[in-house]
Amino acid sequence: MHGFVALCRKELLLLSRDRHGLLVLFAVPTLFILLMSLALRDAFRADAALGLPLTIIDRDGGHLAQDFAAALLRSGAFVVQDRADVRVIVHAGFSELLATRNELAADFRGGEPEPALIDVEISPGVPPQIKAAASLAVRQALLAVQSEFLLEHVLATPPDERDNLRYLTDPRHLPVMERFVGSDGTTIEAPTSVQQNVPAWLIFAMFFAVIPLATAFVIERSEGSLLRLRALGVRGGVLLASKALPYYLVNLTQMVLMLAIGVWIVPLLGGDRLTLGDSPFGLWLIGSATSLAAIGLALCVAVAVRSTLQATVAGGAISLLLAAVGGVMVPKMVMPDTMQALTRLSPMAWSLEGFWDIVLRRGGWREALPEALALSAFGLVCLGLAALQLRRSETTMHRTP
Amino acid sequence: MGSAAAEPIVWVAMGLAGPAHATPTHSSRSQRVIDIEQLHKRYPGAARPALAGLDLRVPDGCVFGLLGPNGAGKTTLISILTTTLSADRGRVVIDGCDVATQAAAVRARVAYAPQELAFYPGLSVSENLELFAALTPGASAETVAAAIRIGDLSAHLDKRALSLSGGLKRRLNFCIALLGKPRLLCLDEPTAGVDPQSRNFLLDAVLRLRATGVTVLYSTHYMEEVERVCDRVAILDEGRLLACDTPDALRARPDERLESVFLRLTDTALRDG
Repeated sequence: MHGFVALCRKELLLLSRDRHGLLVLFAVPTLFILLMSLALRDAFRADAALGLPLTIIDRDGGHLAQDFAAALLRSGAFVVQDRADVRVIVHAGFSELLATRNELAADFRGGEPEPALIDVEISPGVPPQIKAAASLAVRQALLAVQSEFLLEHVLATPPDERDNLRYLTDPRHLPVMERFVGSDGTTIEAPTSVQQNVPAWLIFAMFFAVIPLATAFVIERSEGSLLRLRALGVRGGVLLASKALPYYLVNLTQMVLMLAIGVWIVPLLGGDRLTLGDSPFGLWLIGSATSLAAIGLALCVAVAVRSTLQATVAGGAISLLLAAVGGVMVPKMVMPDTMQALTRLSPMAWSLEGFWDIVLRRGGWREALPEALALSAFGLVCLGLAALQLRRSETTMHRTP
Repeated sequence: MGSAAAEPIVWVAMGLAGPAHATPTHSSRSQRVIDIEQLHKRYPGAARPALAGLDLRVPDGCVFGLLGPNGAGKTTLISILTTTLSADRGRVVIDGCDVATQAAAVRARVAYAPQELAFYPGLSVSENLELFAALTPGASAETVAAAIRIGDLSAHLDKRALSLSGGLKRRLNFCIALLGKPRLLCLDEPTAGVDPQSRNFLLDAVLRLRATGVTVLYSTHYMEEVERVCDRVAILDEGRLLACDTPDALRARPDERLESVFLRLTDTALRDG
């Protein structure tokens, strides 16, 4: 029994002195709880004002259109922004809405479609629940405006002739057209979970290269191979480049493989097929920039850590946190404003936007260029820091007790 | 390993020219392969210097033992000689080349086998040799073949380095240093943790290298190895040279053990810090 107690005490002592083990056990889950709770705060609140970014384009200019816009904002579902993922366009002719609808309602059974007077253009990156909330808010605002206008018609219509009013006030028959639009404004098919998820987890996988790369570097350093390479005159820049190029090829292979899974394997299992957009060059561009950022970060971690355990813990924790913050695990659109602002700190979020520019919004390489430039800059800064740290460590690495 | 151990190996035996100025014995040599003057090195934040004005001269073609307790400055000295660390002050000339200003020329003349097993465990023996041959100035297919013969590694070429025995790993570590036909070979505790047979093999290989004109700087804590292979010995402590002479000349009496000499010069106090 004494031996067993001694063994247990030993285990606790070792764990209490293992900062990285404690980090994994306590600090990482604490951070995750904080991040995820904040990120999903509004998704679980029935009374939450969604505050979705919205652009209203009033092409009518009449007082009804203005009433409609006011009703939309009163709903609390939206905040007006110049550029937003949801655009509500009120077309000219809104003021004649009720007359038109009144006429059409007379023969609604004839099945002739009403012209859409309100276009709701939704970016394909908007998750389904957000789209549903936006759709509901638009219809409620329209019904509010329409109901007020129809009141005198209701009073003037005999009760046995009010079927047409039921038609007019049925949300399903409101003249609202919802469509997903690409980056050039053209209508595109509704996005699928595959299109949302494949880029997200591809990016996560590319950044996960930090673990094998950092671990291999630590082993190389601790087992003396790095010392031997330096004695042979291998420069730090050459050493870093010799690691970056193979991992770049690995990242591209990951990209091809995972996109192929989305295109061919997922449909075989009954899922939706991934569509890749129209810009293979754009995909290569954003994939390469993501790889540069991931490798730069990995090398930064590699030269900073001292043991394989540190490499594994630091690499894993950084990847998970960047994914949580960057909208890989929880879509950015469902996060509160403060958390959405925080996503801008994560290179995974930049990469996700870049991939979505191509595969979801059907943009070309120019649309993904800002994100690609940001990722490349991040990668180059990280590589520079890694090179500096590697050079600095050269003055101390041979110190013996 | 028996066949290789008995063979008069290395470059001369392989039909290759040995290192420049190779001479079979060290008695007639007057040239110095290493010339160190007032070498200083202090690591950032360290309380005392790792090297404090070290002066040392190593004759050409000998096996030169480097002794000292932990923290004496042996590894720092070897790191400077192998251009992986720069000195704060002082001058180091190897085979006529200044380490500070002619690092590439120095690297072409100096080989280094660190005390760690400095190769890739995930690669096979032949893959490791190919890799380091590609990075070593002066390496060729012939020198790779010679290194394989010196280390008696031919039966193990396809094995992952990870799966080798401790002795074989040491031999591979040693042989990688020979790929470039070095003028000066720096060995940092080359026999640490190996069995007596492998140690005997490695010490024989060192002696056979000396016979081809290679100067060997041999850092170790094992006094019996020094007595067996070293022509001259330098004893360092706290970055300073305490003594430098032949093992016989260092002894106060003919029957005094070298370990006693070492303890007499460096003190018996433990070096824990």
